[in-house]
Amino acid sequence: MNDLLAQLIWNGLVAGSLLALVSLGLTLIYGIAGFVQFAHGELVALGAYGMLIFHKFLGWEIFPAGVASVACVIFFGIFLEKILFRPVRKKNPLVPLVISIGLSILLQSLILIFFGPQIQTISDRHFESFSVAGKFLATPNQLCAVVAAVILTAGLIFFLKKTRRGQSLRAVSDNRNLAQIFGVNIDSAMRWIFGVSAGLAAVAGIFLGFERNLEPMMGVQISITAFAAVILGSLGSVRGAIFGALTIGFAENLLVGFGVIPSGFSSAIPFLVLIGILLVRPTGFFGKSSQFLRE
Amino acid sequence: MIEYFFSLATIALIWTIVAQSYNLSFGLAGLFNLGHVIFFGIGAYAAAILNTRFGFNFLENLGLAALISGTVASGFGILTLRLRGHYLAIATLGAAMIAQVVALNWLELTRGPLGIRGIDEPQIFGEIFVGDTLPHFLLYFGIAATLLFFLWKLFQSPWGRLLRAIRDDELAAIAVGKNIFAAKLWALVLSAALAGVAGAMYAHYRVFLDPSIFALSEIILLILIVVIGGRGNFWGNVASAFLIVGVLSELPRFLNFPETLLGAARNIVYAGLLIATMFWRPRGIFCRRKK
Amino acid sequence: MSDFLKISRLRKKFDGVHAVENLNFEVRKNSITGLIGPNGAGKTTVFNLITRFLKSDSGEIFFRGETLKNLPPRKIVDLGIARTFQQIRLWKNLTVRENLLLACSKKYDRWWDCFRRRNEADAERKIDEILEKFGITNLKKMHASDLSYGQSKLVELARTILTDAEILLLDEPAAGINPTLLKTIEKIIFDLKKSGKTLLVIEHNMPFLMKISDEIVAIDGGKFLCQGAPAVVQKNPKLLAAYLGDAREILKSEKC
Repeated sequence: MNDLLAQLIWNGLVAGSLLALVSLGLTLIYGIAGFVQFAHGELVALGAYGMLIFHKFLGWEIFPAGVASVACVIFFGIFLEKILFRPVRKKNPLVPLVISIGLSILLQSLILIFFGPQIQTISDRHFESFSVAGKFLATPNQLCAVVAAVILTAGLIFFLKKTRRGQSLRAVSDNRNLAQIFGVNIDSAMRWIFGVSAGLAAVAGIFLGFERNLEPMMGVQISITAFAAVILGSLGSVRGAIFGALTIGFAENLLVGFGVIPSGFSSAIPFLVLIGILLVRPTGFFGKSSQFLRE
Repeated sequence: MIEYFFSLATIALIWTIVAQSYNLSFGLAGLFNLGHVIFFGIGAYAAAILNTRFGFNFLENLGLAALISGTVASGFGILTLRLRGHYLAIATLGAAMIAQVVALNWLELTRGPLGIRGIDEPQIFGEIFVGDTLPHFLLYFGIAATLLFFLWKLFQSPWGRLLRAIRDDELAAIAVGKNIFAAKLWALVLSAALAGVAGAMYAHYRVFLDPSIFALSEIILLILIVVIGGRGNFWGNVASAFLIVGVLSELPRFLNFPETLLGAARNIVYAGLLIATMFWRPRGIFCRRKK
Repeated sequence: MSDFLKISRLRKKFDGVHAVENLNFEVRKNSITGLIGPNGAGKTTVFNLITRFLKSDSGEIFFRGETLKNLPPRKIVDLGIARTFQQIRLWKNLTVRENLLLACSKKYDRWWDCFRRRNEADAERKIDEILEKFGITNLKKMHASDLSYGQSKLVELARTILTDAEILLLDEPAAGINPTLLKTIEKIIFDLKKSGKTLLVIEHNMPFLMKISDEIVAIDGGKFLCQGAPAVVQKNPKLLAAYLGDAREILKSEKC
């Protein structure tokens, strides 16, 4: 295999894996709460900035700092659900949507004020990249990212399919009223979903932080890329989110790597994919095509 | 001191036009367009480029900006108007990001982050209107009043009534034979054209333009104005635009936030207010009807 | 004229289930035809297909000999076919007057008409007439969100009539209605027939439907079951068998 191709595939895999973690959370929230959480990218950013606090500013070791950061974001996610989204749960889905847009801007601005507009690095240590099978370069961070993504995704799927709690969440996603009749506690289901999504987002944020460095606006870019992935894979579908994320991860890297798209415009690729999908097949590849009116 | 007042008032006028145009597409017609700022930005850049490179003057630019923004909106609308709710929101957000990326990277057209300098101040029949003076303010006030009058007529018209019906229940509108696609498309095009004119006014006022005009956070100001003023409520939006842009936006300045953080502080105020409004008064402060 | 509204070999599938399958029937001009069948039989789907809110997979619908294929839903209304909905669809943020005005004409629907001098006296007159006929003149300035269920039903019916359509598809006009209001609706329907309109009515209220209909079409599982005069159809063994599977229907018809 061509060395350049191998490198691009690896880069695509890394990008896709991390994007998958973010997209899974987003699609789960849509499936269960019925709206697209616009501030989800900010939770990713908070994971990264949390790492900045614990590891860089407080000097903790990487692993404990990571755990602390993820824990904080999980609690924050659950907090948001309780304070912002639960009270409006019964209203028209545009309401939580608009609230999440406001939340996104709010968090971005807060990050900007507290951490400053400059680009920051999560760690002053320099990680050597190493050669894999003599074909391409990888960093330890990238390797851990992919491994973590695989483990967490597998864990999530196992959780949703095999555990009682997971199955009750799927029931809520399928038919909320019916699930309630069968005794599923909706409040608790929401808490779980927001908590899990936040956790996945934070993990992705930490690895992204090592990979790319932090800046206050990083959340928006990630959000939109995740939207593209989730819509590509159909809102609400777990498999779809994984498919969509990997597709976009590979597309971003391969298209730029082979010069199809100039690198300055690389950030536009997910948006183009997004718009393309919405024009051609808005319900994505893993969902049913929509009907106008039903009996 | 007086310049500060004129400066604030001019910006408030421009934003009132943009907000009311958004009230037309988002408020009245219910099109959840998160990318409305694109049309404002396109109008501004069109004016800037046409003026600095081709010598078009202020009045010509107002017309051309409307035309260009409107045309872009028509293409955009034809492609996206069959999307609903979340999907439309996301599509328009994506479009907004693309606009930002293009503005930053298409150097031959926009000069990227360097921006465009030296835009002429408004010149009509040989008279130059210098910014932050009374004549300039009166000129802008006159233009704004004309545009707002046009918008007011639209809101009062049967077409406006049709848009409200479409926003409420599209299927019912189809069931009485209405052409909802045409109505929505025109709503989008007109609102974009007006935003474009406001953009041209902005370019000729600021005489300098850079891609920050496409910043995503600006849409939150628009959503806020329309939500608080009441969707489709003309006078409510005039009031809320004045209050928010004229008064509220200056709050961080009076609280002595450093200049670099002013934008972020403003956004926090807007975002916080938006969230609060969605909680307690999602129909706007000025609504008369309670469910 | 037997070729007024003709459903021919209509077929529609939803996610693998045949909602309508090889359906054939006709509606005679100036008749009141009832459309019945157990829940899920496909009745509202038929309405959706006729009005082109849904596109059929195959088969055709003819109105006055012309096929309705490929027409957008709003053109169907122009041609003269209008419908009501199972869940009432009024514009809650508009007044009753505005709800009705929108159905009256399309004369000023374009945005540039905002500059024209408008004469809506004709429409206002028609609205006042129909409100009076229905006995709900007092509701004219009220917002649709403030109406009771029965009042909303009347307004939606009025709105549909104001489109000036020749054929009215009524989706469960008697559902949830008290007996007094039912009498009013009955009279309205008979008046419509007298003025030359044709009606196709979905209903579960059997006594009511049998009383007003000239003819009944019964379907089940998306397939045609039988068609004929009410007295005849009522006794059709296939129909009874279909309904026996849906005990609620039997109970309802026994109550009235």
